Amino acid sequence: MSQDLLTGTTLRQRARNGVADEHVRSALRSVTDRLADMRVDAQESLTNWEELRDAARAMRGHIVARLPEILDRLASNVEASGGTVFWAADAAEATAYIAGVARDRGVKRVVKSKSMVTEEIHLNDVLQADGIEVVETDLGEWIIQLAQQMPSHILAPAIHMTRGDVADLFNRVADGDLSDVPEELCAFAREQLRNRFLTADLGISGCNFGVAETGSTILVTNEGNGRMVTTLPPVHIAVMGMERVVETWEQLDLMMNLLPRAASGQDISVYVSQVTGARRVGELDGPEQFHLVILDNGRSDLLGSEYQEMLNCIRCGACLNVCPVYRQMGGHGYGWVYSGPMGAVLTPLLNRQPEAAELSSASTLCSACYDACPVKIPLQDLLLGLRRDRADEAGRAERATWDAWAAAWSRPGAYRTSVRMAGAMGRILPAGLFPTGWTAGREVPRRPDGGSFRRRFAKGDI
Amino acid sequence: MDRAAFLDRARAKLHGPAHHNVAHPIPAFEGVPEVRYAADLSDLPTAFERACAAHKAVFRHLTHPADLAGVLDEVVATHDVRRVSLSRDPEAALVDDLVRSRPALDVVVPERGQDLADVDLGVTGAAYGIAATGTLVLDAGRAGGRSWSLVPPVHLAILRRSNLVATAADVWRKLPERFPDGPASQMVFVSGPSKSADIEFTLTIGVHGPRHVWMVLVD
Amino acid sequence: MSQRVALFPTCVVDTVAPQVGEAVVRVLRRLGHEVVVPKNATCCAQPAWNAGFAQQAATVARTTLDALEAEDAQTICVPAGSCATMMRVFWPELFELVGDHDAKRRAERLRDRVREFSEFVAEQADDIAGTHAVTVAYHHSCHMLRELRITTAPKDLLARLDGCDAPDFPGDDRCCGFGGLFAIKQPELSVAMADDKIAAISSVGADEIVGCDQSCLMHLEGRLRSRGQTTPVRHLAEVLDEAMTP
Repeated sequence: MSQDLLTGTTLRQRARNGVADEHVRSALRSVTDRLADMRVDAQESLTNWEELRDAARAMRGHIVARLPEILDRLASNVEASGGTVFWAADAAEATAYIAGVARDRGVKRVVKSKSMVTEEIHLNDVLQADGIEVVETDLGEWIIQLAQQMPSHILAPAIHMTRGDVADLFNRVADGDLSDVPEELCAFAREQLRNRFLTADLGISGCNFGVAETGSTILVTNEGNGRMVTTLPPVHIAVMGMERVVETWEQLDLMMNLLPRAASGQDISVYVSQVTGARRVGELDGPEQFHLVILDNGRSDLLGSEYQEMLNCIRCGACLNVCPVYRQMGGHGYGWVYSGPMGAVLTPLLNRQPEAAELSSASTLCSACYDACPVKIPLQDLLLGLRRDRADEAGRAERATWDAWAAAWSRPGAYRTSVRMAGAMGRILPAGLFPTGWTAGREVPRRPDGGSFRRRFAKGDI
Repeated sequence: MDRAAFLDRARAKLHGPAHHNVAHPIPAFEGVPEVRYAADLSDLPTAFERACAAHKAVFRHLTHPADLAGVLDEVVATHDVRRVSLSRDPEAALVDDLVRSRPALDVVVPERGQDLADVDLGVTGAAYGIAATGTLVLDAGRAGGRSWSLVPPVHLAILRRSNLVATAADVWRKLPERFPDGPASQMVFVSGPSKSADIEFTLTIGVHGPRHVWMVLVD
Repeated sequence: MSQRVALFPTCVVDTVAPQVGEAVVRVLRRLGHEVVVPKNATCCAQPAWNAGFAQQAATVARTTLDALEAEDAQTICVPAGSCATMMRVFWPELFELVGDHDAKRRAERLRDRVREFSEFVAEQADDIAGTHAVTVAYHHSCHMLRELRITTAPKDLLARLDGCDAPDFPGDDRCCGFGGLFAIKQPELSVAMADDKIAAISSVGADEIVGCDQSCLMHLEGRLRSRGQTTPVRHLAEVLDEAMTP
């Protein structure tokens, strides 16, 4: 069963758990620092990175604003090349369709390459309920599948586990005696998963981009499992969020220069594959059937709203690597498949659970994410918008507090009085001015003798 | 949901005026700019070699196809190759006689991708090479399949100098010219042996794809 | 060139750190300016804006906008990156959001005169001189860095002081964890972020921590003292004031 981290929890509880886990925090600091540094170095391999970011923001916006016609063209071209398109309004439709294909084909074993959208829709649970073996083949995803945990980082889902944890896990799986050396653990994974690739009945992947011009599906990978999954089994299903499209190969080139550099500091990933339809006559391999599942699942609700720019996201993870909150809390604190700044925005928008709304508070609005984002999504603005939405639903007490504040501080005399009093009170009862949230861990600032700044200035004491 | 309903739902949402961001205004879309590289790409083979070193592929530059014999023997010796299979790329055919004339080598002609599971060395050509990133563009139609460069642990790719271009843009942005019959059923841009850093962010080479990649440029 | 400068002290300085306001006044006067403090300016309204209460924020922001606009001053000097950002970057958006197009226009006109303290003083960097033989860990506050794009002015000013060394260090541009109400609503995260920042700062071996946003400084100082550490934490204005005082 997929892990549910959100139900019945608060942000503060999850944050406390994250902060208390010194091991994960230390791992995150190390990994995110390295990934962020690698991104900065890779940016410098191009001389016009900022120009490309501006163009990418405009371009993705231009695409999303015309999504219906672009998806229409994509689908027509997928079908013209012999593929099948399924339009999934929501998770239930998507998983039902995929389960249906699996049933029709008598599928017993599925191999999957990394796809966050398939985790979003809990695809594995549905297929497993039908008695199908589902094997995650991306190394990090396989690790967390075995551990029955949720990913904690977009790129490196098992980064919260030590090599020792992984060795223990693998040894339990294979009743073995592996050391904790990563090369040995990888070799074990290669050997274990090889047979799965060779005998699987169905391969399921995500899709980094759909190229409408030719009906092509693009996969950006490093390990080779993505290629295995889309080459050896007789059926390939790619699941794509409806916003993950470009119109032309020229537009794809821009994305392919930004994505790997922003994600992991690579000029290009080890493998970039494009798939256009199924295998053709005379080819040795490749699937006989290709299906593209285009998923809505709440994305279309963002169209026309102030959150439309969130659909520009290309899931690179650069924002996670610079977020000072993610750094302390870790991915699990966000409670869902998407974490970090992009998760704090996307989760309240796509996940209907009431606990999700709070995530807009998992931020100091520092804007480091905006500076790192290769398509320049102003996540800080989107977080503020979400806070406004929450404020609209706020309780009477909270609204009354802000109304009182506004009433007082829009009157200069009342403002000056309150400042004087707060400062004076602060000298007598420092903790009274600052709630316990502050004082558990910080001392209270104490205003020196002599009154407020305005008072001293007005008296000519300065 | 059916196509029309799905798209109509999206269209209805896009019906009104676009939201504009006051604090961080969105620039107008004026086309896709050129991607400018800092590296010196004036000599393509040199750039290609540099990129191969960075991503850990083995690079060789041969002035003549006859020199492939030496490289083949080196690959066989280095990786203890017994079983080899050739794709149907024209460049792979350059070593056809060589592999058949070496009695220590078993030449495997697969009927399905899975047949390459116990092959030690896959030999392919390449439709294009990209100098800036040390990348091979492999075309499943041209090669006759996908698995030669994927399943065996060692991949030897032969690239003709005339197919070496400077950047990915020279392929992506010129697709109709590069692939006049449209894109193949599958193409892969390969930049080195397979890699992962999923365990404690330690880089490991050779995960599911090949562990060793030899990129041989032939004039 | 000598100006009439309207000083907007900010509510934090007003309430708990008047010494910073005083230092600002003295520095500006030493640079030859006349300093006035518009009596009817209150708060930039960022706390309500960041909490998502736009109507309430607009009410308060309008009061301050009116007061600053009414003052006949060439420059409005704001000794806090976050407040200067609120005025320059977010007031137009705020007023548009609540439908007050007149205030939006006035805010757009006003912002040309709004200067964050170090940005303004750096225009007269040549007049800054003094001694401050101290190694400083300079903290870039987020709004100054990423909204106002003021990246070098504070350090250029510190560099004008003899003996003052303010090296770059990893994490010098990372958020300190204050974030307004975040500091009390997510205290564990806020304190963890402060600790992270303090760890980054300790790599410098600094005698002093300096910044341009009193909220950040109040938060870092509060955490340091709670940890029993006595490192001085000061606003750039206080450092310049002290160095320039004979």
